[in-house]
Amino acid sequence: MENANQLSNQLHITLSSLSGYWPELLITIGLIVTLVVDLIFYKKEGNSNWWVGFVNLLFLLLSFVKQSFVYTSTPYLGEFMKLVLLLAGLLFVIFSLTKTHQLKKAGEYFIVFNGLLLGALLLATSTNLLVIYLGVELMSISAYVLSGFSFNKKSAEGSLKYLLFGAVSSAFMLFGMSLLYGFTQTLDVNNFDLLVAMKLVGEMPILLAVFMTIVGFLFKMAAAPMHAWSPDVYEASPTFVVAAFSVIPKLAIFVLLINTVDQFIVLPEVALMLQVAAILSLTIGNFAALWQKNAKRMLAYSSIAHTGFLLIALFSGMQNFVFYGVVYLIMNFAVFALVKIVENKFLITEISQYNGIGKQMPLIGVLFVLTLISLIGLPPTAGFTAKLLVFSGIWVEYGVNQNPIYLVLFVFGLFNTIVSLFYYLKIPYFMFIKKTDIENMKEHKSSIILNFLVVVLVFVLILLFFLPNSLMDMIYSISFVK
Amino acid sequence: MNSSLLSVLIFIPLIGTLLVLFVPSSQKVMYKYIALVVSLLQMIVVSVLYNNFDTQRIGNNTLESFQFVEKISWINLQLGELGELSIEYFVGVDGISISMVILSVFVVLIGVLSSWNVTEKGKGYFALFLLLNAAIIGCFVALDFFLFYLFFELMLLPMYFLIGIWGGKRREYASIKFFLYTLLGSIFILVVMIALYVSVELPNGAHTFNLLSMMDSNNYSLTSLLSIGANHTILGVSARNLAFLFLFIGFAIKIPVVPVHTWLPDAHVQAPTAISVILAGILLKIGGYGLIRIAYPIFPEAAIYYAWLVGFLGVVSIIYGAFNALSCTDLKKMIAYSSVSHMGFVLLGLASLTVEGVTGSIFQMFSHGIISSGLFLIAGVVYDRTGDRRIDNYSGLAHKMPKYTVVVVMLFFASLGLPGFSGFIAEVLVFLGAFKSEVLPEWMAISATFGLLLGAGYYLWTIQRMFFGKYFVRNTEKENNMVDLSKREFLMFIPLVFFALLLGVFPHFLLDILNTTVNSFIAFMSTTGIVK
Amino acid sequence: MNSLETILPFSLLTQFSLVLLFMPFFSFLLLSFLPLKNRNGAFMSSFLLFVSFVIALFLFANSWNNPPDHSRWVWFEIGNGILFTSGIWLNNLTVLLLLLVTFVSFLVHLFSMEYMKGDKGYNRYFSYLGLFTFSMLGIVLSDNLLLMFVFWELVGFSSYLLIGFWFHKEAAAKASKKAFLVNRIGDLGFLIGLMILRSKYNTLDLETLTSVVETSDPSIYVAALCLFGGVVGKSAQFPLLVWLPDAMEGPTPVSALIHAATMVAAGVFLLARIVPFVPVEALHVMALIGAITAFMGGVAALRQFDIKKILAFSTISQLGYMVIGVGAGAYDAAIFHLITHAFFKACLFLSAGAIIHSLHQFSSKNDVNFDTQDIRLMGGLRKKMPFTFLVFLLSSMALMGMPLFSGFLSKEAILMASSTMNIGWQLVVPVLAFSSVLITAFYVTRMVVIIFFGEFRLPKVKVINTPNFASVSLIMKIPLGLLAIGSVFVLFSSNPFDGSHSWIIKGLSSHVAIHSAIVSYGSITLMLVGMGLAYAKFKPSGVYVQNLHKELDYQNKWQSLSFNNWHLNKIYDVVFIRQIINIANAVKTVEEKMIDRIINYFAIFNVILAKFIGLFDQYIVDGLVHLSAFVTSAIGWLSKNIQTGKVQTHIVWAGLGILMMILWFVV
Repeated sequence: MENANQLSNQLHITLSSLSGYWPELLITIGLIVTLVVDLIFYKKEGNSNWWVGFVNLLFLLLSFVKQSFVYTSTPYLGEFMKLVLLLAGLLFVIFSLTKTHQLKKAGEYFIVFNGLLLGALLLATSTNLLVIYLGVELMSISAYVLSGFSFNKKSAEGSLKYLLFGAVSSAFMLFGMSLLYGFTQTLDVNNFDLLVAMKLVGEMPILLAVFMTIVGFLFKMAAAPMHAWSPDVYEASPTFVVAAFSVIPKLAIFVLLINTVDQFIVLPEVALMLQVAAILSLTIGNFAALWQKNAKRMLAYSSIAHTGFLLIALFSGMQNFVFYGVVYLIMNFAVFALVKIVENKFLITEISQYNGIGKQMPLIGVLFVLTLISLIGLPPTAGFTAKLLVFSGIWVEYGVNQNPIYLVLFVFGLFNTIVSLFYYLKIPYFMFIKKTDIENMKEHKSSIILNFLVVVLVFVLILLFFLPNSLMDMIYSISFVK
Repeated sequence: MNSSLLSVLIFIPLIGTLLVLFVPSSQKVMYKYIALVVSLLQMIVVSVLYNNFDTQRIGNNTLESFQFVEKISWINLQLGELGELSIEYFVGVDGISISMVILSVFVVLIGVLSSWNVTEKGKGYFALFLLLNAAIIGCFVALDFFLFYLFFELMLLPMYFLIGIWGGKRREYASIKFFLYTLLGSIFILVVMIALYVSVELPNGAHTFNLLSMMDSNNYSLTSLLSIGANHTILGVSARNLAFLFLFIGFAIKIPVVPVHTWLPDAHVQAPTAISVILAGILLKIGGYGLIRIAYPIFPEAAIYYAWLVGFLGVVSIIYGAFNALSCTDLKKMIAYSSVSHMGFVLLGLASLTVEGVTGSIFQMFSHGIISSGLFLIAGVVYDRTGDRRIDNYSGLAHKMPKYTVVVVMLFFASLGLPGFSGFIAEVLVFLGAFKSEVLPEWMAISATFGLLLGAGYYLWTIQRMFFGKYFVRNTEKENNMVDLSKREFLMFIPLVFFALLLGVFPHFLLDILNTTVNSFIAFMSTTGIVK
Repeated sequence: MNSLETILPFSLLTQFSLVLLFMPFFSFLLLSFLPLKNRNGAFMSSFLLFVSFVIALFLFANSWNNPPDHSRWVWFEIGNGILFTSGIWLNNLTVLLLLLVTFVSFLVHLFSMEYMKGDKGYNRYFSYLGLFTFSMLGIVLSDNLLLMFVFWELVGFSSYLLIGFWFHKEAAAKASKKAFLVNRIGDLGFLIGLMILRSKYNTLDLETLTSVVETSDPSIYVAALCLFGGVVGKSAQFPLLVWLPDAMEGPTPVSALIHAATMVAAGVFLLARIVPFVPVEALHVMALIGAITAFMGGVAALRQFDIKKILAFSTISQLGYMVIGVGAGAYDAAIFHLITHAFFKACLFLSAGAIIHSLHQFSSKNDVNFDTQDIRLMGGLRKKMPFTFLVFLLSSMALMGMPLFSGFLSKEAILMASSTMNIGWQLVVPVLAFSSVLITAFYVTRMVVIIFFGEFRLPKVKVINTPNFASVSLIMKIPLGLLAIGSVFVLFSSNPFDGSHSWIIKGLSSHVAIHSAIVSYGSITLMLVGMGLAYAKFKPSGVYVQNLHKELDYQNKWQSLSFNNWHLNKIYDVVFIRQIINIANAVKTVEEKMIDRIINYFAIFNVILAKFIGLFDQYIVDGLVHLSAFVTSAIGWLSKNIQTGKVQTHIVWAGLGILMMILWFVV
């Protein structure tokens, strides 16, 4: 009886808190509807009707609108980030829709993506180890599938690699989580009391458990040293999928980290581990990017570096982090869209083949330059504002703590900005300065919607430089305590 | 007088950029006319500024010391625990900045004229050129560090492309080198900018990028890293001294000071003529201007502490640059190194922290802006004709190109400091200031005079080899191109020579607008710099 | 700190002085910018110069022996009331020099109208002359050292233009460069002197400095010597005397004007201006330098064959005398010598010009090429150019210091003064000064005898059709005649044997000059001995002169020493110029091989680091991949797909990474 009561109580709580999960529910519904629609209108050639994407888009939009109602009250971080993730999802779907005629199995494509988004949304708000694991796996498994959507050998190989790698890291994470559960007797991260647990079992097992868990996180966000999968996967996967990969799981995991890190960070080693991971990611990402010849692969390393920067941002104040995250989302979608535009038109992704594109497509060239200087972090783009805020935050922290690690983070961040210049500049260098050999290029039609969207994104990047208040005020209304 | 003239000055070229972008490529000729009209309009605005400029306005660290001020709140972020972040669109000029603005507008006009024959990718060229123009003016009038930094960085990219796309054979190398160097410099500046804005806290709790607030030691929150009282150290060095050094490095790269100058010869040699003119005529000045406007008044005690170093690097630049120029075989490279040498005087004068020295330093910036523009045009003239700039490959040009020779002789002598030209006044003032300075040893001024000798050496040697003696051109195929200056070319030189002479004989045209400001600057440096 | 200088009223004389100053400048402007045909420009510029000369006469009449007239106004102001003034200071010294400069310049203008006829750059030449005269007058009129420095440099510049007038000649181009550079070395001294004085006294005004400077101050000693550096350059004193002989590449009237009468005298003029505040110790150093120069110049003149070179070295030697005069405390005597020297040396140069001009016409008439300046090819010109011979002879007498001639008077005064320096090392000064008298007499006699006596030697070397000489035109004769008259004593002193009573000396200094008969007789004796020795060797019937046209440039090392001006050019070339070029090349090497390379290495290092990290990321992993692939395929334990193996190693790798992190943090 007591059990039953407890159960009904729990059910009651679950139902009442379900209202907060409308977006997730809507997406789930969208997933199912898309599935059904796709099944009904399935074509023989194995290709779906491209407009199934619109069904998906509809639900996403609904979800987004629904989520935006959080701004009637003070949202907490997870809620805000859900909005951001949904925005990313919207961008992804719209981008994908511009190229559905190239897209095989569009139905599955969108369905699986919904899974990924769902996982990310779950992560953004949960502090329960089980839900976390569920979210991570939902996200990961969808990602494994999505990465194979180029349907060529390379893509399949990348996907398989991703899967295997992911499985191992999931195992690590699960092991860590189970240890944590064992030590603290609870699944709710908020109720962790690691210090107490430490007295019981000693420092080392606790650290081991936390590390293993965080290692899993680092893997999903492609931070060094858990980054090795990402270049291969990025290169092999469809470009828009890469754009999504570089943003959605990353931000979701980061929110998760923010939600849980307060509990872990009581152990100074954990903070140090994250900081070391930040420095490693920055350095490895940037230096390895220098070496890349393929635009997507280069951007993969660049996104590793940005992960490092996001990790630094984590220590510079949450608001700065969120700002950086949002700007990162816009920059990355813009840059991958640009890569895709060039890819569509000339069927190239090698940077060395970009020569002369600046003359052929001046608008795209200029947009590329603007996006890249935002990625470098130069004015007048939001990339600069974001970096400025992060560095200021780090500086303040240093002033407060006088902990030299902040100085190291500061210096590394700045130093890597210069390094990043080398490879980002490569693209405009080839586009504008190298002599052209246009004759060899095949031209295809480009999508006006895609171009327009990129213009909008770049415009937002510049707008956020001149008027950061619009976003910053929103961020400052977020409550970081759940 | 409070009007929006300065904004007009900044935004005219931006409008020009848009116009260039929207004029269809079939109307190629329009681009240069747009650029010309923009420059002429700017000239008009500047002459209005000059006429309405109040030369008696004292001070250098209060709102009242600036004229044509526009102060609009731009970004106000409530940053939680950090307090309020306030960035303003804050522009205004005092004697120093208005002189630089005048110089810029003038040199840009010359730059437009010397770009007259650019037809290849004209749209991009003039769009970038106009963007650069706006950024330059912005840099000189900004009184908010963030705004300054914005314009400072905004100059980078147009310059990169202008050198990289329209440059010479090794343009790719040169443009990347230029970009990296200046970006490195701007990173140093960025660090200090962040540190400053975190440290400066106004009574209302706002953190601001306002340069004038940064100059007032009362505005630093007591515990902050750069507060004067707190005496913070970073790795054993006083934080304020370190910050000054960072700013110094950042601006020194721009000036450029030996040993961070090596981007300059490459950039100059590869850049198209007009861009060399802009680069030498204006961009180098931003380094010196940055020191005067930002590094010195914000860290006066550090400036005095490091006066020796600054002066020493000035002397090293003067002599090292001159020796390098002496060994050059490429005319343009020689002129580029002579720029290194002449900009050393700016540093030496500034380091002296005397009225004479600082006046001389600013005068030198102005004078070098005019003269070096002319020198790079000179290098452009032969290059246009034969595509060859090697000094050895010419001889006796005076026979075929008498007008050109006259211009060359005048500008070379102007550059080597012949009295009657502006460079002389500047150099004499720098010498007098550096010698009597209390913070510099006397041997610095004395050894810097050696640079004058070397300067005469490389210029006269070049004249002798290229212009005197028997007529000879190595590139015989293009010998037919060796004609004297065209009307347009001649027209570009006339105002340059005229102003170099005017300021050499009647320096008060420039000094009148500088004097009060420089006086206030010195007074400010000596009163705030000693308090520690 | 305000300047000591205040504003002084603008007097009538000042206004006249300004008109005088700017006349030649207008001449420069008009001739530079107006497209004038033929000789109109020359007439115009000569006329303007004549106006200047008339004004100079007027000023002289009004100012000589009257209280000085000083006007001063602000040139520019910096900071809050730090003034840089300009002004005109008319005293006896000024008006005397004004008269000299305008007079000689006017005569040279006249002479050049004929001499430069037919030259392509006729108007250009006269415009340069105008610029030069303007600058020189500026030096004379300036009331402060900075302004004087301005004109000082402008004189250097116009001299550069004039020496390099025939720029197509390689030698002329090089000589002009050399002149400017060597002068600039001295000017650096001048500049440093300015710095010292200004930082010490906050003024550069000559009149003010005279009243405020304390000569006991050691820094004044340094400052005076620094200023003297400027003199050493401009007046071609040892060790900077190398530029003047080369400067003879310019047209001969130019040599007469600037390298004999005016520009080189500017240094002596400067000394006279600053002498009131120069410490005695510094004066003695100057006297020593002057004595060395007088001697060295004289010796170098001994063995020259180029008529202009002889005159150039003689000028150096005479300038040395003037500096001795200032150094020995008799600046009045020095200025006196400056004036007399200007007359007779200008006359000599212009005569030489007349000879060269005639020989040039002779050469084109006969269609033979020969060096028109080589005295070995001359001889016997006495009969062919009697007027020239006469004026040349008169001015040569003055140069030697023959009694009854102006040079005697002024040289006596200097020798008198030098004889007061008779303690210790100072004795070197009179010894060198007196021996130079002998040397002067020797080389002048040699020159006169070889050029004018005996027979015309050119026909011995070249085939000549007609021995007719063009007569010297009137417009050239007038200046020659006027200058020759100036070489006679009457113009300067009523007593032909005593210079100390000259009106110039009286006008310039208040103290009564000493006069010693021993010095007079001694110097006359020395002069006569020199003349005698020279005539003995160079008499037209002598062996030497008979074989002169065959003679090589020099024979033994002493002759070589004289001919090559003490080998100074070679020494400087080895010791300084080559070193500077070496340094420049070394600096270039440093620039390219070190600074730039360090930066490149840094870039390369970055690339390598990037490569390394890239390799680390790809190939080490890949290496493991290949290894494991090999192992896996060998064992056949897993799938045959190599790529699958790659993932496993990736995982192994990641696992290792995790393990390492754990080990690092936990253990």
